[in-house]
Amino acid sequence: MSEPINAPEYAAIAAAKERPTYRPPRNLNGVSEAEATGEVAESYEHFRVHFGRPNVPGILQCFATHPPLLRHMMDMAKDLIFSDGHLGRRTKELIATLISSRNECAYCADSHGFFLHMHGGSPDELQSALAGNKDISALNGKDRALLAFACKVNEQSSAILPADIEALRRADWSDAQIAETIHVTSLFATHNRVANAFGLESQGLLSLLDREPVSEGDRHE
Amino acid sequence: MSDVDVSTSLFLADVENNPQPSPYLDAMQAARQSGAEYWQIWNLLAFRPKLAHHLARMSHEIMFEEAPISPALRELIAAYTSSLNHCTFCMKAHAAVAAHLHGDETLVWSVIRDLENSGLPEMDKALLRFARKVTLDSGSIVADGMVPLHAAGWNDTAIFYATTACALFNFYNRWVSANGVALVSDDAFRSLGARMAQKGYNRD
Repeated sequence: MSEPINAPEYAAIAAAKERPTYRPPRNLNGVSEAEATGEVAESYEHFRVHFGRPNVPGILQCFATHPPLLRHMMDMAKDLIFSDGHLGRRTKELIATLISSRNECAYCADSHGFFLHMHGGSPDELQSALAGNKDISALNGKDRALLAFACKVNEQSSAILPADIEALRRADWSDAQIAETIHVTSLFATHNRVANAFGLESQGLLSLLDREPVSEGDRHE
Repeated sequence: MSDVDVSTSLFLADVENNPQPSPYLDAMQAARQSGAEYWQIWNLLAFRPKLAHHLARMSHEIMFEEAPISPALRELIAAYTSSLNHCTFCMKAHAAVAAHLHGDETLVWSVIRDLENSGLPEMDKALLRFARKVTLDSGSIVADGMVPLHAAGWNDTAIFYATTACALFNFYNRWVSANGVALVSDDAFRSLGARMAQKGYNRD
């Protein structure tokens, strides 16, 4: 994690006139930025510098209750989510927003919905994903097939058969892209549950868009 | 005696056939040379060694290092969560780890089959009931949900570990099932589970 990542979404949060206010989790205590000491304080500073975001998100404050976990979780998220892999950021954020909405995780749905917008997701895609609707009419058949598969990974993974994989290959998805879809979806099965069990509320990042629309020129495909 | 076909392929051929240099490739080659069964989750880990490294470190911290919940109970949470998600591979693997740590295979399977009527102490049952909610209905968890856990004697750190262990297996269950990881024989589950019970999740 030596190089800062390309995260226009965090630059937009840093530049916003009204920054999201931090709300402590409802059910269990996290480690607030003011309370952080030692290894946690170092990890928080690493995050602020590396991701270019002024405040540490609530989900990391939950993992910070066990410091060694915090760094592993940050490293894994950086590799898997905050990077273009076999799937682009827009597709990953579309999956993340849809799955988080279907898992009733308001915190993750808001953050990743905001990231989806920043990485070129259309208003239709965003609204449909936030409603938990996998049949997004604005998408082509190829993308819809991938989202349907992600929902099956999320909700019925034990019923997945080789035929499901074949359908994706016919829709022109590579094995590496299918594997990444499984990784990302499964990771959100974890994050959504941690956020919900701690009782993290939405940070209201999407409401920043209402107050202060981000110009098209600032968005990245 | 094996009742399963261990030659079954993963769903994604490009994943199965592209193991990268890693401790998991070494482990697979060693198993093949000695004629031992191995679990195909190693193929998934060998495909993306960097991801595998983070995942193994995280899993080791959550499941194996010192915590207010014993590794035996954390492994029971893993097996129980896997049963709720119908992931037979993870259920059998972590039932084997838990059985080794508890020294009681019958108890472990009684919990998986019928938690309420099992012989598990009431305090531990409270934690597994919570794991059930985290797995099946996390969106409806409210602050009052912590009351029975605190009443049973668990502190917030223990609840954190239970939540995180359960959430971690909600990852593994989907990852394993969606990739079509095959079962191994019960004997292989026992011997691989015993290794994991003793050494944990790190391989590099």
